[in-house]
Amino acid sequence: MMTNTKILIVLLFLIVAALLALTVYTIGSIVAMFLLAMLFAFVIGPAVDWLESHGIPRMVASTVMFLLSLGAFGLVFYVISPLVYEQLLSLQERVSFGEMRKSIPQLERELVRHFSFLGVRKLHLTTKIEDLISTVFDNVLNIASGLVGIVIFVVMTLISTFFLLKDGRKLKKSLIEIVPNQFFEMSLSIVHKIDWSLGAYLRGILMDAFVIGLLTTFAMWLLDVPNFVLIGLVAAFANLVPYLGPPTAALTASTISVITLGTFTQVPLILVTFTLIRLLDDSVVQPLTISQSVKLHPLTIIFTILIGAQLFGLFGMLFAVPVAGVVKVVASELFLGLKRYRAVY
Amino acid sequence: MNDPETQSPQSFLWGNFFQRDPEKDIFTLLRGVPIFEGLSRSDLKAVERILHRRKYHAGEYIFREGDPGLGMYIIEKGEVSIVSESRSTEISRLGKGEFFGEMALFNERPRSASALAYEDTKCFGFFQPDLSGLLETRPRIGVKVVAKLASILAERLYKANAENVRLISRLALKDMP
Repeated sequence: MMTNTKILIVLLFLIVAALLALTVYTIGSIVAMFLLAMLFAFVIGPAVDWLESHGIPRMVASTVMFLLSLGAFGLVFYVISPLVYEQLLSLQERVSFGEMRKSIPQLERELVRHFSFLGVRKLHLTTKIEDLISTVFDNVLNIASGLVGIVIFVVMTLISTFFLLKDGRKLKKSLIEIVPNQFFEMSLSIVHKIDWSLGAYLRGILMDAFVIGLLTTFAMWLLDVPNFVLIGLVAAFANLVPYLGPPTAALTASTISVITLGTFTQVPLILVTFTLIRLLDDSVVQPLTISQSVKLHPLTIIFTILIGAQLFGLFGMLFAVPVAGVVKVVASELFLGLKRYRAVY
Repeated sequence: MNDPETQSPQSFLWGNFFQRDPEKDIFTLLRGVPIFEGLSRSDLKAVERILHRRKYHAGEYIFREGDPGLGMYIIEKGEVSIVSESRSTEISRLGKGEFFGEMALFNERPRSASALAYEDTKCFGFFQPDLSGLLETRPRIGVKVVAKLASILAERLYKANAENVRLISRLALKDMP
């Protein structure tokens, strides 16, 4: 039979879960802003701690690291964005006017010739690819049209990041202060463990995505694949989605190569390179960056991606697995904590 | 003397706006705790920032026997009774400035006894995660605290060993024909 304390814990848990769901549903963008600020604070936090350990006051350390990170991000954006923009434009030109009009029909003829035994007759590849690309460009334009909203979002996220860096500990302490005595030690222990595991997990997946993006860009540049920076960016983001992400990035690279060059010659090399990068990621990068305990079951990943896609489209797909990872870290630390304090058996 | 009616307006203003609330001035209390001995005022300020101030009503448990250990408490006001629930006995009664549960700063072994507020009590909690944080961000202070803790625990171990030897020799004397 459940004791009153356990009933209270279950009730509290349900109320918190319902409140969280309601909050996400009603003020999703503010929650997203706060989560993003938390993510940045988790990434920059250890550097602030390091500066503080060398006698620099927290306020100064937070300001210095915040400005340095902002500067580094700005520099990367300044260097990368013209390259990405240029490569996007060249891709659009090739697709709209140039090589694609010549190469796609040729490609279609090749495919029909090789796969006629499967009943392949007319594929209308040119129309389909043009439709797809115009949808992608329309989406990019839509995002750009909401520029004011984006600027406000970015500024608010940056301000929140700074204050989380500077006063994160105070905030945590104030939150724990309101917990009743009965649950105080348990809450403190659980919050600390969640904080530690979550920080390690988020820093891990970001580092992994960064390394994979860099490796892919370098490999595509070596192979002379067009739009290599764009492919590197796609690979870095796609890496957030286990199982489906890397093949998607390989497919993107192959498609760009085929569309641009009108031939399949680079495709085998691209696929081999992506397989090698995948192996390197699994055997070296991931074990160094991401804790094995956060690994999700493939079935969980598939359903998580489907739910993410259904709720928030492409962005939902991209961030569904990291969010599921965060939920797993929080839930498992919460459960372990409750178990250690005999609140659940 | 402290009655506002008998005070001059200046001292009344001074008392209300500039004088520290004695309850809030915890540095004197912390200085008296052996773990924080030798820390400067600015060091103590850093320690004070990570302490958790808690209030307990008479009869309320601070922690229970068997709970995972997380850290120690320093009594700011009131009295705390350390009791063994398994043996239904009071092991000791502690008052202002005294501390308990310090072993839990080093490992999460279950608490060997319960701590119960004997009267309305105020405590400062000092916990493992905060000690780790102090060692990471202010290693100079963190090391001083850990060294003091180690010295206190070593002293206790020394006394326990001496007590062990004394008991063993008493037993040996009893067993002699």
